[in-house]
Amino acid sequence: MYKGGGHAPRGAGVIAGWVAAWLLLAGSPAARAQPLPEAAGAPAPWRIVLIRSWDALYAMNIAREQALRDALTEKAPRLVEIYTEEIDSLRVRSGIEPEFGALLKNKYRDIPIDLVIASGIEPLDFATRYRDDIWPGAPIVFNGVIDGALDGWRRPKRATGVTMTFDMVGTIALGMAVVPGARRAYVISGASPFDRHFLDIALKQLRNIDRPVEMRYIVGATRDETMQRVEALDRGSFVVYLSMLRDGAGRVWGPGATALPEVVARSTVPVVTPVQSQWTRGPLGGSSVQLDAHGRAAGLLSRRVLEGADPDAIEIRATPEPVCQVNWNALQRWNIPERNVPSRCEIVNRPQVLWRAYSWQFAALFAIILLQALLLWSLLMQSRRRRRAEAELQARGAQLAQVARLSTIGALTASIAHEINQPMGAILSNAEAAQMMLEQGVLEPGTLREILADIRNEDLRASEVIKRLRKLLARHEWNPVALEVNSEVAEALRHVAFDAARRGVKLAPVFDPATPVILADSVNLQQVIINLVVNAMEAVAGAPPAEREVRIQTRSVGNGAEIVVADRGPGLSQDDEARLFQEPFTSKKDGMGLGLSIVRTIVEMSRGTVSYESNVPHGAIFRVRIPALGA
Amino acid sequence: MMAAPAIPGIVHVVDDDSAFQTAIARALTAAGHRPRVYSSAAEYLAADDSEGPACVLLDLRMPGPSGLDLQGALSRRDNAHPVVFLSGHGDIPSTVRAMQAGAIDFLTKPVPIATLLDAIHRALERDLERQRVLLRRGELKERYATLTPRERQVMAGVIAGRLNKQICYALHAAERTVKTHRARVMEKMKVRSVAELVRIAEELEQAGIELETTPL
Repeated sequence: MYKGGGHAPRGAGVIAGWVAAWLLLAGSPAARAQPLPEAAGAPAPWRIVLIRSWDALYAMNIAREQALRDALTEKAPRLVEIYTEEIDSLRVRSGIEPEFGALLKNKYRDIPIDLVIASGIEPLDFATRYRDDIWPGAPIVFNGVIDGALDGWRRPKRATGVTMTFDMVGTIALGMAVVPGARRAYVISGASPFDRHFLDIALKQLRNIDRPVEMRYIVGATRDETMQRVEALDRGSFVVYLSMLRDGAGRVWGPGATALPEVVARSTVPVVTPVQSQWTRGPLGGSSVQLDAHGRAAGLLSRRVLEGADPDAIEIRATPEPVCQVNWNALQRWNIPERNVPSRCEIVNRPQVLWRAYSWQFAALFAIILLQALLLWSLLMQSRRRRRAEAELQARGAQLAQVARLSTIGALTASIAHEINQPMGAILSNAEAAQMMLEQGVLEPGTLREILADIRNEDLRASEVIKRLRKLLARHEWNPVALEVNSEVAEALRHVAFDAARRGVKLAPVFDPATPVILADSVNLQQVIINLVVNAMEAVAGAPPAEREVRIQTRSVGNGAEIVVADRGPGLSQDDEARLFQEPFTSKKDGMGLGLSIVRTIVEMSRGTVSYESNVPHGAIFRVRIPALGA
Repeated sequence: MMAAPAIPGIVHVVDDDSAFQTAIARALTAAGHRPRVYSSAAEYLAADDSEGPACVLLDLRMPGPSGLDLQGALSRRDNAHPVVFLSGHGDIPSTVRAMQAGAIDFLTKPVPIATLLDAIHRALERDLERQRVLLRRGELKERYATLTPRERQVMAGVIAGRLNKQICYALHAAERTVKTHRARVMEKMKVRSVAELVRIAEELEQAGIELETTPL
């Protein structure tokens, strides 16, 4: 078909169309159209005749025509009026074409047509022959013509268009890829002129296959025969479905009754097809023009021509390039592994496997989950470690608390003795004085009253001292509470005040009122301060009187409180510094060396730190830092 | 009834604890002594206390100069009273230092009054003795001061065991003159024998008096 040098496609003679609605309209005087009134000043609309093949609802028509119309009217500078005609060689008997032409001529007598769009080979044939008569002067833009159908065609004046590629080569290649070692390909085609036309073009393309496969044809058979054939195909083959508008029994299978789904259902081997509009009907896939893209290209071309481009100067090309597509469901249907699908083919309808569709989001999600898990794990470990460390610290703290008490007692022996013996001595002397006076008979009641009052006061004073010492020295549980650092330091300094006086050491406290409240054990904190201050006092023992000073400072630092104990004694050597907080460490000849170790342990139990630095020009500075309550 | 002390005296109580001051003063008063209280070493040093017999009852630890510091300062005085330490807590080094520096005793509070009075008694005895020595030294110094330079030279010769002839030769004097000087020395110094004169010379030297030496 359409071969040779005829001035028109051979099918022209048999092609004619008829639309009942137009007959009715034509027969009615009321329908006689008047010259269309043009809105004053507004440009006339573009009036376009669109001629399509067969039923408008063939899938191939729908996708293509929709895209064409959209492209045509999209942001058009004028109104676009489209008049559609149908040429249906499938169902309408031939021979009525002259009358149909005459009818159209009459129909469009008063309608100036700017463009004729021919969608398909049969409309193109009709337009080629009747354009000058019915729509004189209107250019022709065609589409929906299979690439290869126009070989030897004589291009009429003022006509251009786009062809579409139903890619047999790519489709066969797909079939051979998904059926490794395929020996045969069964080509199915119907009996209508279009079916034959399509087959003809397909066969021409097959000459170009690199690695020939044996081609078998199921052509012109009835639909039932066709189905029987595909049910019994040998392994190692596949089916190439072209079209079956009409079967060998003369039955037309309209848009709703296409044979392909049944072929797919019956076939034991994969079915491929080079027609994109068929891909939704169950075949494996194929290589085809994208019909909507093709329609859009035709629409844009039409616009160019309407806007004044010279159609004769526009080259006719296959537009766009074919694409290969494979239906994932069909792969499952014929048990074909995805790896067999050539890489140029896109696999569609893959179930939305979430992690595949959103792979990087999933990767990120998993990374986050993993990170969180790691974080949780490390936090758990950390907290477990901390709890263990705390338990160890508590246990060690309990042991050391005892040692700390002993150490504090040692540091305070002189103070304790003095503070107790002072009132005791006064009491004894008072009592003995009273006794002597009594014996001498000189004890006046007033004197006795004074003496007794003094005895009482001194007794109270002694018991007060004992109470205070007991609090400091008694065995007690580690009991951290919220503490005012300044008042704790002040109380600790009261314990060592006497010791400082006898050593001739001046205690110089500087209290920062902004020092935060901390969580610590009062007694232990005081023991820390006492230990550090007594150490400092011992360090300055040999210093000149002016330098016998221990500076005690509280202040707020960072997230906590700092207690600084500084002296201007000889300080520590670097070796001593390194061993400072280990036990036993002492630079005194009769020291046990436990003081600083205890200090550190107690401070650490309060989540604090103790550090040493050298004073300038000489001396020691100890800094105790404890986090503020709630820090 | 407690008897009056064998030696009643002034007891200087140096203690910063006013309650203790009061108590100890009461007890000492009841025991027949005359206590005087001071709350610091400086306060005591500033007070005139040349009277006797007296002693110092000294606390070891006080703000400012300690008891040991005060004892050191007193020992540089030639008329210092004996010291008894009375401390709330005495460590061994302090005790040793105090005793080496001549303290009568080192007591710790609380101290039974008998113990305290015994120590005070010994201190007052020492003070009386000290006063006696001071008196005699003063007397001897006065006697020596009455000698003429020539008599002092002769006395130096005599206590050095020289014969009259040797002294004559050394002093370029006649033997009779020397004999006269010698008799006057014995008279002025109120001694009857050379041995007695030698002993007084030693006492004077102990009291730090520079004696004339013989140019032999």
